[in-house]
Amino acid sequence: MVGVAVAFAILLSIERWQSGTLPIDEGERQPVALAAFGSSYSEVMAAADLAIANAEPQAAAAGDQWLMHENVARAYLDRARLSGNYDDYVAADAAFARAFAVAAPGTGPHFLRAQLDFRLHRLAETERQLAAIDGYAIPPPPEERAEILGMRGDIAFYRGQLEAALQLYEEADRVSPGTATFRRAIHALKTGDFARAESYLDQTEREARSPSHQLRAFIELQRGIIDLVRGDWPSAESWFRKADRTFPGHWLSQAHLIQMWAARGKVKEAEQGYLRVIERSGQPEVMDALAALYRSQGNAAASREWAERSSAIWATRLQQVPEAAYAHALEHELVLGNPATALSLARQNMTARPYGDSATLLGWALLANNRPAEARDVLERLGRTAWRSAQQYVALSQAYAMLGDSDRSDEARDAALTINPRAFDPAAPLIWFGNH
Amino acid sequence: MRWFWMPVLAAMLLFAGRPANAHLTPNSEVNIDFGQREAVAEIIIPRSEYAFATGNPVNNDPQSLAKAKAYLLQQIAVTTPDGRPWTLSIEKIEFVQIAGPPDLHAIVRMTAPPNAQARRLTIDWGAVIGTVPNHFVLFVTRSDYSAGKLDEDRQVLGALQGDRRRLVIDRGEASSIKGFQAAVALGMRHIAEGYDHLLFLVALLLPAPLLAAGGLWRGERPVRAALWQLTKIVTAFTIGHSLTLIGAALFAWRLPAQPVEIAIALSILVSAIHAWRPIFPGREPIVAAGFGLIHGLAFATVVANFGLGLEEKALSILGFNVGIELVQLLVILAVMPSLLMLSRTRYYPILRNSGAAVAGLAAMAWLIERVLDRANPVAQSIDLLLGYSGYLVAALTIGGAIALLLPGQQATERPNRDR
Repeated sequence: MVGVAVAFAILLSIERWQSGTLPIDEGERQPVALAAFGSSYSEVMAAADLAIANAEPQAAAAGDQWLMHENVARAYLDRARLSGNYDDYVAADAAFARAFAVAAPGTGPHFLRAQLDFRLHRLAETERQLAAIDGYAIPPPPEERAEILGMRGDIAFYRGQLEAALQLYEEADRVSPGTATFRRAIHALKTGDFARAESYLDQTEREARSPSHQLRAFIELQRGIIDLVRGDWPSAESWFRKADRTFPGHWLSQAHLIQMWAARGKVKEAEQGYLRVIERSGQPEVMDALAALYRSQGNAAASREWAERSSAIWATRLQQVPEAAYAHALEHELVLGNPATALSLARQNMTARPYGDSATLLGWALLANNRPAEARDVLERLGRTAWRSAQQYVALSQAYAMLGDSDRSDEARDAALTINPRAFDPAAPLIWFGNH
Repeated sequence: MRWFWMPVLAAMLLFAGRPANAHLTPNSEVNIDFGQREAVAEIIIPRSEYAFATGNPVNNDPQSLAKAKAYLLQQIAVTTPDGRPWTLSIEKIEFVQIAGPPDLHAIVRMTAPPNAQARRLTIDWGAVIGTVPNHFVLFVTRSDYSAGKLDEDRQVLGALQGDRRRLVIDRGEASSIKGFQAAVALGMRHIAEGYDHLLFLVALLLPAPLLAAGGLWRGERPVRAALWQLTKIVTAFTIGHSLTLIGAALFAWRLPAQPVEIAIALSILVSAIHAWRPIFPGREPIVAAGFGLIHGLAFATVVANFGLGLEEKALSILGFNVGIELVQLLVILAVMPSLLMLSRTRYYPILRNSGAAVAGLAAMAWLIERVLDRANPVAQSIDLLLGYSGYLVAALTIGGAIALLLPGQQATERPNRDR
């Protein structure tokens, strides 16, 4: 009973938050909200499928109501968030286009659209949607205003403006406490303050009160990632295992877990694990991880086969949603494809989201193209910000080494090892997920 | 209705995407030692990358190694600037674990054609990069005697990748003087930074101005005898480490680093005990020579790759030894006055016993560190403190002079104070 009550409360909250003052029909959208409380990936996905199946005919029947199209967009977005399927993002995008086509000027699903744009790494478009909300005749409630501030902080974060992001998070928390707790965890993680990141995750968990399986698993995954980036691989594996048990069947948790098997030398188990995940999810990232695993074993035929398969998917995704695909396609090209293509993608990725991870990837892409001086410049600039990751110093160390500056190479190497003692572990190339 | 869960989920959903990260695969490395007439390349190709690129077997059976050898000779060409080919001879090839996952490891001697300068060459490289576009090969100068580069600092020559497969190298004119100077400098640096070697010597010198009797240090050696004793100890140590140094460089004597380092720590412990109570009085030069052999093995790890050919090796070892001796001489000149002066005062037993205790403590800390192969804070603190030993020597010299000049400070009843 309590679960149903909470779900109902969430349902109302979501709708009020997302549709402003317009009336809604709770019954129609219940499956979407309940989906978040499924105990496994397949349950939540089934609920998401059902939500789409419900929303689409309703939108077709009431095509002149933007809310109906928004429901379709939300349903696809919810499923995309879990499945990582770009077709769903494209479908959500199309539903938004239909919603705005019928919405009166100044109205429409701006907030949800902003979420989609943010997910697709379209920062300017996200800003545009948030700005439209500023023009609403009736100001949003405090929680929504706080969330908008939080999102503006996120935009600043992905523009590499770490201080501005933090200020916006503080502002968001002043308006509605707890809005930015998880965001602060990410900020702390990316500035190398792991203890603080963990503390914010603890707080996130406390604030969630009755977290869904999905949310709990997500937080466990984040805890594992923190351990991963600071080199505590056994603990990271333990968190990934927990995440997989908490919310079974989610390909992302499983991929994180399986890579730890690969890093531990359990090659056969990792290979079988990746194959199972690929069979269920069809994710190109997992195909890339498998291809890299085969490559590490010198198995050229299998590596190339999987690299080709993922390459075709990345090509499609780059067509569908380029900004969202740049970084992942770039990873693919760096290891399994063409360095020149990787560099081109790295530059586009940096333009879309000029933050630390993009700068580090650009550094790697420049190194892979034998341009160490440019890589050094990019990474030194990053080093002058608050961004701190082992990866940036690993790349910087390599740049200095290629430039013949052994002393600085050693300094950068030490900096990387201080953050992550396993930064140069020979098994590190097999850590495909979360080691950023 | 409160939004008690909303911020968490909203933020979570926004950040739920997986950030991308780089996963560079292992790359090849070619470390080159340049000589006046030839160059020797150590080629390290990750085994997995070699297998990925060639599909060849990767075990150490003769067929597999023959394929690897043929592959390398087919994929690597070295020529003079006017296009004449160098002779490549693979002296060693194996699949071996050097650090991390296994590698294809090969030593290739590259000899210039007659009348060609061995310091200007072009390397055309296709191994792995010919078929794997994102693999790259890093070329590094490990040593170049004639250019005065003998230290372990790597000089990157360049990297090849993809379609960029040619590396042009110009090492400039050969100069024996530069190599010798570098060897001297390296010898000086090595001994100056190697506190363990100097501490061994200083601990052995502590009782040099004294005479042993009845299991204790009693009485003073006359100054001339003390100086002669110091000279014998230092010379014996020099002879000892020079012998193993020459053996290591010319005849490739090798011992694993860990037992050598442990033996060095033990040598300091022995000399520290001897500074406290005589355990081999009068035989210090013999002990110095014996332990010098072990200390020489540690120096040998530095000179192992010095120069190509007998002439370069001989000159570089000589230079390295000269460097070591210069620093030893400086240390002895710095320490001697204070030892001789203080040994004539009633403070010397305290100083000697304190010195012995410090050396003993350092030896124990290093011993534990080297046996366990793990840094410990005591050893680190001692390393740090020894960095300031110059100030201590200066203070002791001044203190010794003052003590000697002040009335009533001279040694009188040494045996009583020595207990």
